[in-house]
Parts: sequence; C-alpha cells; structure tokens
Amino acid sequence: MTKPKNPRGTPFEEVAFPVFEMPHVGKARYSYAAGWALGRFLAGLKEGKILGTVCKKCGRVFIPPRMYCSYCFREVDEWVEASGEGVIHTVVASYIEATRARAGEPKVVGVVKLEVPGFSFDDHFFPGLLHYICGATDEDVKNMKLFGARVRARFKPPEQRTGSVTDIECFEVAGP
Amino acid sequence: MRRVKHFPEVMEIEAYVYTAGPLGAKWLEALRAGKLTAACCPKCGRLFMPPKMYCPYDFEEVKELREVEPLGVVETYTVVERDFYGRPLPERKVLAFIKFPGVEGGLIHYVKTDAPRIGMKVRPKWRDARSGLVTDIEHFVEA
Amino acid sequence: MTGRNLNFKHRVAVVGAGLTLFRRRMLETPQELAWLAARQALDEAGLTLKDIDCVVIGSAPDAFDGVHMKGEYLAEGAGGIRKPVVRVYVGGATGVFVPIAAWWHAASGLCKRVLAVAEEKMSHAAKPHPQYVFRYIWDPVVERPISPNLLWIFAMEMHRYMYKCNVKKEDIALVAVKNKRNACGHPSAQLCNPHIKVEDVLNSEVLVWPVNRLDVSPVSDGAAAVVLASEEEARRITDTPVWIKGIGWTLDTTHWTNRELAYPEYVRRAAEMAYRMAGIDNPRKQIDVAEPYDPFDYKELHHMEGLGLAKRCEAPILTREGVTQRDGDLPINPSGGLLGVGNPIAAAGLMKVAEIFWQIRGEAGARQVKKPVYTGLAQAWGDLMQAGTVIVMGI
Repeated sequence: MTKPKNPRGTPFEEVAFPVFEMPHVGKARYSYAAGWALGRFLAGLKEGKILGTVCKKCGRVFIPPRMYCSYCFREVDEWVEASGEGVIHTVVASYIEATRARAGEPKVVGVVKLEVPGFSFDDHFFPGLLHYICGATDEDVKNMKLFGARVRARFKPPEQRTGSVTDIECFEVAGP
Repeated sequence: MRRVKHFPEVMEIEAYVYTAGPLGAKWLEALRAGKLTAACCPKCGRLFMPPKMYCPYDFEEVKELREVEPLGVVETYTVVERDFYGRPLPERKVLAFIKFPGVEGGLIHYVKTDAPRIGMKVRPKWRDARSGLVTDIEHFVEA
Repeated sequence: MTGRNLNFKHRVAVVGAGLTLFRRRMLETPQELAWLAARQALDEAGLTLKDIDCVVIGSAPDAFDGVHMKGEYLAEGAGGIRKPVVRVYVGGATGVFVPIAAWWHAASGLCKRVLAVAEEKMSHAAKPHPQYVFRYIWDPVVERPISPNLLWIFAMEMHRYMYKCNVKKEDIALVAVKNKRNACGHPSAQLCNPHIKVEDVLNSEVLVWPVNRLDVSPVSDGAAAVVLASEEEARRITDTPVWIKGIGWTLDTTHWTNRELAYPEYVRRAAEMAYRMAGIDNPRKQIDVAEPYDPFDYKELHHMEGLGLAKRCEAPILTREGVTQRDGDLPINPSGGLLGVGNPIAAAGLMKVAEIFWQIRGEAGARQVKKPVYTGLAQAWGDLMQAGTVIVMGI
C-alpha cells in the first residue's frame, strides 16, 4: 500500500469563476526607522564612506553596522571606516527582475568581503555587503574566475547621493 | 554625528486572487440564480452560512446545499458614516449581521432603512444582473 | 523519563499522517485544505476530532494566502476551535517545527493527543507572481533598494558551494533528476517526471546563474497533517507508533552577507541538538533514511553535509555514486522532496515528516526504500538563510 492513500484536493488551471481578484486599495506605505546604527551608516554613505562598528570584546567588525554585538550581547565600542576595497565572496548573474519578469540585461550581483584597515578577517565572519558588481560580464560569472577578485566601491557623484546603499553605484572589478 | 532617521518603502502585491472552494463555488452559483442556500452537515444536520466543505464540529465532509427561506433577522448592526479613508459618506449606511432561522452563522450585509433595530425582519433585494458574488444581493430591506 | 541531556515526562509517537495533493493552484480555501489533510491523518489514526485535545498549526507568511492572522484563520479547518491552539512559524522550517512544537505539548503531559497541521496556499498572491512576496524578506534599509529577487541569494549560496567544494552543475543536477523521478511514486506529487535527465535541467531557462528553472522547486498549494500521542495513548491507538527520538532547532542572523555561505552552520547545530537527544553519534551509520530540505537541488547536498550525513564537500560524490538512491546505502529524499512533490512553504516540511513516518512503518509502497528502516530524519530550513529544524524518528 502506498501512503498517502488518495490524497484529496481540486487542482485547477485558470478559471474565470469563482475567483475573486482583490486589487490593492492603496498601497501600504512604510516608513522604516533606520535605527541608531544604520542611520549613521546611511549618513556615511551620503558622504562617500562605508562605516562599520567594532566590538572590542570579540574583535568582530560589523558591516552593515549594528548597535550591539549579537555574539557578546553588549553595545559596540567604536566606529571604523572601510577602505572601499574588498574581494568577491560569491557572485551570480541574474536574468530576472524582482517581479520574476525577464530582465533586459543580465545583472551581476554578489557579496563583497570588505577590507577595514587595521583588521583582518577569515571566511567565517567578515564585514560584507550585497551589491552590483560592474566591470564583469555574465560569462565571467560562469567560468568562476571572479571568486576572490579584488573590487573597489564606485560611488555616485555627491549631488546624486541620498543616504542609501544605492549611493554606491557598484563594486568595480579592479584591473588585472 | 548625522543620522538618517527614516527609510521609506512600499509593500505591494498588485492583486490577490482568492478561490471560494468547491462548495463555495456552488453557493455562489445559487446566489447567481437568485437563491439563498446553506451547507448541511450529513452527521449532525447543522446548517452553515457561509458554506464550507467540512463541519467544524464533527469534521465530516459537507457536500449538500439546502435552500433557505430568505427571511433573516438582524442580530446586530452598526451605522457607517465614513469611508475607508475617513471621508464622510454621501449617505449613511447600515451594516448588519443577519441571521437566518435554523442556520449557524449568517451574512454581513447592508440594510436599507432609516430605523434599524435588532430583531428587525429583513428580505434580500436581488440585483437584476447577477454574477455570483455576495453583492448579487444589493441590500436587505425590512420585510 | 530522560533522554540524554533532557528531562521530559512522556515519550511521544506519531500515530497518523495525511496529505492533500500538492498543485500549482487548488480550488479549496485554505481552511478546507487544512481540513482535508487533518481528516486524513485522523482517519489513519482511527481517531475523531473529539479525541484531540490540542492543536498546533504551522503556516508561512500571511502574505501568501492573503489573510492576516492566518493561523487563527486556519484553526477551524485544523480542528482547533474551543481547544488550546498555537501557531508556529519559522519560514520554510515550519513544516518540521510543527511536530517539534506538538512534541512539547505531549511530552510535558499537558496534552495527550495533538493534531499538527501545516498549510500553504501560494496561488492567492497571484499578481505579479507569488515570488514577489519574498521581496518583503529583505532588510528594508540595506538590501531592498537594490531590488533583489530571492533567487539571487540561493544562486549566491549555490555558486559559493560550487566554488569551495569544486562541484559542477551536472553533479548538482543529479539531485533534481533523482528527486523528480522519485516523486513518481508519490500520489500527491506535482512534478513527477520519470524520464527527466541531467541535460533537461541544464537546458532549462537560466534564471539567476547558476540556477536554472529545473533546479528550483515549484510554487504550490497544499496541506499536511500528523497526529502525535503520548506513550500510553499511542500504544492504544496503533501497534506501530513511530517514536520521536530527537528534536532540534536553531536560528542564525539575517546578516547573511557576513558569513561563509558554503556550509549551513545553523543546520549543524540543530542536528547536534537532535542527535544528542536521540543518542546518535554517527549519523551516517545510524540514520537509515533522511529527508533533508531541498527547495533547490544544491540544498540537498548542502544540508546533507550540515546534518553530518556526509563529510564537507562529500555529498555530491555520494550522489554520483548512487548512495542516495532509494536502493542505496543512505536513501535521501525517497519521497521526491520539494523538487518533485511540491513546495507549499510550510506544508512541505511536514510532508517530509509524514514520509519518514510511512517509511519506518513500511507503508511507502512504491517509494519504500530497499534497506530496512529503523531510524529516520527529516529536516527543514527557512527564513533568510537562518532557520534549521531537525526531527529524528524511529522504532
């Protein structure tokens, strides 16, 4: 006997009746509090800097910064500035948008492991950001040469910055 | 030390598409035919409106719909003066919970009356053009 | 009563399980889906609703079904009216967390017979696409402005795993082929394909390199349910109760850009918790069959390693050698997993628990694994690369 025995349910493809389409009556607009740490982080981005926080007890550097060290469960001790350079931890090429529609151009995005002067990090815990990678094509992604590649943050011109991670236009692959 | 205080964002799914379930679909078809029905549990005989395909008491499957006399009683009501955004409505509306004798549950619907009261007997006013929705009943009026 | 490292009042067993069909779109309302699965589980246990004293409900974001307070909304269909009911939610890990929470109810002596139900109706979030709901999972301040699609994060994890363990897409696609073929023995399966080959997977639409369409589990509607009972009750209900030997669950941070993505640390910790309780110190030898969570094909490999069923980077080798097939030495996902049966987010994990239950009882029929099964494991994973839940069952 194969269980489950006669599983029930009525699948359907697309029907006109009776389904109720409930379009959004006004979109819910949210105003998120940036918070103590990210508030300063975003202000730093507007000035062209990537800031992070340090817990002196365990030595961890947090980017995106936190107000507390999640591991020692105490307040962080100070702020530091990343150099803007880093290496690629992982990278992908996306052919779809957030809505699942096909994108016009493949987008290369990845996680960048950032460098902070005076600190060194292994791969277990490191300051890192999700962002676009420019200066690389989807072919570069496919032949796996980008892992560990050096990148540098390219900021938008100061008048276009608004205090968001998009003030960094992308992380640019440094030349050979 | 400067800080960015807020970060605006929008959460939107463009539209949800809900289904009524197999028995619910039949209930809506009955509404389209101008009939008010309730689901009947084969085990305990209770009648449910709106219908569901299982009896919440016995957990038995419910497949039958029985026609119900469209004579309801206002169990409770409220008078609505403002719309969803807080703007005053052109005309006050009475929204009532209407129960039908012998049926568990009932309908939430508008009652067109200037003097609503609990215990008022009401009948549905059907629309001429119906499409299989609860709004095929335009509103209830005093019987 | 003690397990290692743990004091509890009653041993708890699973005595019945039920599933609906898993399909892209189902006509039943969410409550009706929950009822279909719950009723089947009760029937298998020979119980009626009156016999159940507590109910645990699991369901993932309210945003899918489009009804707030979804747990409470489902309560009636899950038999949970006028009873103690609790809803648990850890994203995709919910499916295995539901029996864990039900275990607490029975092991403490608070309840005798617990009905645990998980349901998901993703088809309601129709426009633009249910995948769009995942947009809300990202950090609103530092991630959402980049407009990421959830597939990016999986693609990044998959690519990092491929890099660190030197695995090719062909090796990973073997998992999708195995599971979609295994699913043909499952009456509820959405995507059974007995003829699928590695080329089909590699040639399917590229979504986010290295993820192709056939590397991903589908969007599904469905529900699952199990009945748990404390020892005395379980022995009255059935001759073959399947005991819950160990449970474990762990959460990590949502700051997934700060950690090594090639190894799921939180799954390892959840597994250690469950193994300690079950008295297992050599999982590769002591677990006879396992259902690790496979929303993507590489995830099965990733989780096998996190669960200690394979050494780091060894899982693709085991797969290639056929060890994880139904007739192999360590059958993995004999049900067909999420890739083959379907992925209604919360119900999928509970489907795996039901599978282990039936495998141990010898009732999996066409899917029954070749070797004798005494101990099995189901694992689920969820949220933003955070949650791991593990359950070990056996006789």
